[in-house]
Amino acid sequence: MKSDISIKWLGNLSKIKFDDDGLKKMAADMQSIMTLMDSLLLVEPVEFEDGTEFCGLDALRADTVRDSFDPELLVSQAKDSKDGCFVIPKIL
Amino acid sequence: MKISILRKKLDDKEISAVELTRLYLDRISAADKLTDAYLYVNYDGAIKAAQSAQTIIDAKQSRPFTGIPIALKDNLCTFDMPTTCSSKMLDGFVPPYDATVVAKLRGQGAVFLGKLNMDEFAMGASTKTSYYKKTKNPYDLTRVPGGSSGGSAAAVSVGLCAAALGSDTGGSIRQPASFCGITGHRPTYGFVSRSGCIAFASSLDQIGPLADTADDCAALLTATAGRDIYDQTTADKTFDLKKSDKGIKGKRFGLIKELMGKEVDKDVSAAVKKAAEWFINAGAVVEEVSLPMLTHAVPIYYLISSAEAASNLAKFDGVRYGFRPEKTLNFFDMISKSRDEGFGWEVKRRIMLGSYALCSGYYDDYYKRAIKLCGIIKSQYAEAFKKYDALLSPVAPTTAYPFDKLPDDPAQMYLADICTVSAALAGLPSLSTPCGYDKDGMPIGLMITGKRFDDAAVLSAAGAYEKEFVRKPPQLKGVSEMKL
Amino acid sequence: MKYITVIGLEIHAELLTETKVFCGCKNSFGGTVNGSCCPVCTGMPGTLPVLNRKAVELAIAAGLSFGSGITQRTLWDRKNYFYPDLAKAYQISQLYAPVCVGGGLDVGGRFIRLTRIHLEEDAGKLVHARGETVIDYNRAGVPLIEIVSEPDMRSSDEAAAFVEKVRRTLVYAGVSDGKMEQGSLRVDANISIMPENASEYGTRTEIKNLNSFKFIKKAIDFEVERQAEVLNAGERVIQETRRYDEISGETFSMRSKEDAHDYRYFPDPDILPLIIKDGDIERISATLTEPPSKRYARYTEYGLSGVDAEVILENKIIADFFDECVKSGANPQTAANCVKGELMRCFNAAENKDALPISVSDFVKALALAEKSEISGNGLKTAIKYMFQEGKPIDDVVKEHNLTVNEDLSVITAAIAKVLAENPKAVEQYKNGDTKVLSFFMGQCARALKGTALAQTVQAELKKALDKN
Repeated sequence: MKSDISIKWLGNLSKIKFDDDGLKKMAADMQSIMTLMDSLLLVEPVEFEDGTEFCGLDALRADTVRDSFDPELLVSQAKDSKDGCFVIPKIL
Repeated sequence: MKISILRKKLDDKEISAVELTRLYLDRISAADKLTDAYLYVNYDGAIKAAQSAQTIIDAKQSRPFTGIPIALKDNLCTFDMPTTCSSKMLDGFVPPYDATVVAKLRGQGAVFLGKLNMDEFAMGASTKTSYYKKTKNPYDLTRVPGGSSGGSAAAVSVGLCAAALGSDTGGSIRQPASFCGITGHRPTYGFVSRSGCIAFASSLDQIGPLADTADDCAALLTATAGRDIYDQTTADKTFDLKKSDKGIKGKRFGLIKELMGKEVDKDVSAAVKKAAEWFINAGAVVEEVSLPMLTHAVPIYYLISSAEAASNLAKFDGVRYGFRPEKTLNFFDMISKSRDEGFGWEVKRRIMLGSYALCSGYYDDYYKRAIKLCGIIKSQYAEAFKKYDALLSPVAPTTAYPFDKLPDDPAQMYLADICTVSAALAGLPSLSTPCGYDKDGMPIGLMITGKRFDDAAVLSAAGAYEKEFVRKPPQLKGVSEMKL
Repeated sequence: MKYITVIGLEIHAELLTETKVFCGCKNSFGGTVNGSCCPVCTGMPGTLPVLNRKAVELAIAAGLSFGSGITQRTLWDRKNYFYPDLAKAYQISQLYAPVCVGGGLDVGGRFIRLTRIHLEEDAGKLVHARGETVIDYNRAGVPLIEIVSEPDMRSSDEAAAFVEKVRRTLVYAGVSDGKMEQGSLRVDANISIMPENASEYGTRTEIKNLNSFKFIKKAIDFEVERQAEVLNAGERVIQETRRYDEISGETFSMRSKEDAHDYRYFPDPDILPLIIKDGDIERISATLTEPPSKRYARYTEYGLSGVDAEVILENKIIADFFDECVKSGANPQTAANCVKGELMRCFNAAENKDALPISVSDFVKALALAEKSEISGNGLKTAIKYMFQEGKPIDDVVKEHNLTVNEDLSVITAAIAKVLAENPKAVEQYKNGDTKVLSFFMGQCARALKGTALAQTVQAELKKALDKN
């Protein structure tokens, strides 16, 4: 694994908090995984016909209003809600 | 128990929908303490659904799945049952909507017996990463059922449902089907709507059937396939097995060289070769075919699927749903703690790998490169399909292994997916059907892969083969074969 | 040390679609909190984006209005970051292949180039209260186009003028309602300064969310001065995001605890690449009304002054009305006079700014009556006022308010005599050579005659009466 990205930085980017043991274990796991991924760096890409699917404007959705959900139903699975709103602690 | 048989018995009034559902519920109560396939058994809901189904049957308006007891992998949203993806993150989550496939079956009056165990967020091939429990392989309770649809495969194998829906991202239907000795089909990407299937890797996920027979899988595919207004990646195609070119005679099959290498167990390759011989005797041509890029399929798959997963799982932060810890300092602290406590280790690994592959400075070498090489895989398949109607291979290099033999090293573990990932990368229909048993009696699967939207060819070839192959059902202590 | 100001703008405009960009929820302003939401726009598990055709078409319309090139194969990408107003923790936007590339606008004789226009989804709104934050996702998923300009602007005036022209062009194209006060048009400014003889641009700062012309100008002016002070003190300008505080009139650094952010852009696998055909572009082009720039050219050809043309073009409803009148045969200059005069006066005072209560045919007829001297110049103004306020056709208004010209000299001379008798001081002033008093008398006579006499007749008789005395 290229050394200039730290597991801690990557964890912060992915918003997962690791403790010290976790950082160590994840570093070891990533080392192993990236060795496998790095095997691709040696593969020569050859030319091929790109058969990627695409669609036209006619396949897109028409601009017709569909019924929205009841706000109480949408917030029903949230741990903290008030009057049909999602509540979270302050940002910073 | 074949769905067509159940349909007849229900319509001929040999058994009522409620009686049939009770039979399955009782069987679950008796057998599932051994296998642990179910996370949630829908006792009351199933009876109610059976009662409604009976009204439809009485009115002689049965649809194919009216009153048929089906079970669902726990990543399929159901508005009347929890949907947890076997994760602490979604413990207790009840979505306010059905997945499209669920709605389609519910609309036909299907009876949902419950939700089935899986690897957490569908990441894994053993069902061991489930937050709740380990599902056991019905053939040997000390061994894994495979994954990530391990619960689905085990349930079908023991007859704890008439059929099940699972999902396949890199082999998650086919490999557990092969480990549990049943049929599992991964449909062509775009055939079945993914709306309401909690996403792992959007360009690879497909919802598909696990059942006793190819016909049953075809029936489920017919009921679930089709364009969906909630999923713009679905194709304007319906599925009809009857319209397909049936059988094996005169067809050409390619046996994939790169998937029959030295990492494949002797028993497994022997069983696959025997199946190939059977195909030849049935009037088909079977030749070796080479798709060289398949040797690199595993890292290509892991880079693409992990990148998409890292992005797809970012929405799980405890804000609108899901696990939220008690004491937090502020928003960013809250979400980091939610995700640390809510996600298991394998999920975290994939997220880290995925984020890394997409980071600026690494994107070109990893994600972008993987996409390019995936394109080459697709074109090599396309080239092979110019000569062959379908391709054959093993489903996994080994049969089901004991729980304590799961490799610690992640790379080692990932490499076991070699047989199944490439068909997913190419969006092809691919099925697993039992073709043998190893020296310990563990099932071996034959994988049949077809052209895009040619699921019919795959299912009919499997159907022809399964009629001749004698299966050995699992022998669970105290659980007998289902009788109606 | 003299510095050159370099400004580039990113303008976000909400599109005039019925529904959000990736789901069928209503795209509307206001409403109960989370009242226009569904599992898709609140990022619930298992949901997928379903692209709105109209949103793409309006983005293309915007591009055509600015002379941009339309990308044949356009792609959608995920911009990944965590923030509570972003339901999926990624925004679906366009990085690699935006819908429109290039184009630009003439602003005061200088051509300001556009880099690109792309389609993306808006985020929800956060409301901060004591120790907690509440999230409203009504705005989440509303379609936005982001119009990115090259750093071609050289002053805050030019920047403000550019924004106004962009806003107007979008309104004319039916792409956005451009209501900055409602947040449907938002501006981020990228500002840097460089010494006069420098060959490279200086370090720029970004000021986000400027939502009025006044603040755009003030923020830019403050920031330019601040950067000059920094450079003059021998220090370096830090590349950062700043926000403008309306009360203090200053910009403040928004530097958060996060350092360099990595958005990990990648093509969204849930949205297929979109192929836009020539036929699509032609079809959309045909629906576009004539853009303000073309109309301006046409108005000046009619003989209107640049100022008058701008006044009429300020509001599309007025401009459309004017165009219809000219199409129906009205003389452009007379029509322009009335449109920018009495009609605009009534319109500016009216509550309903979305439609005019006068029909084109009635207006044109009123103009014709004035031309034929069947109503006077004042009578025309009165007629327009009453047609606007009462919504009645011209014939009814003329009848009810007695606007038909009455050339009965006895009535006119009697009214004149009365006015002169009531204003002896003014008569004295006129006798002493003050000819300006004439317009006072004209006004008084017009009022007395309730606009039913023609101006030239009144003037002639008035002069006769004054000279007689």
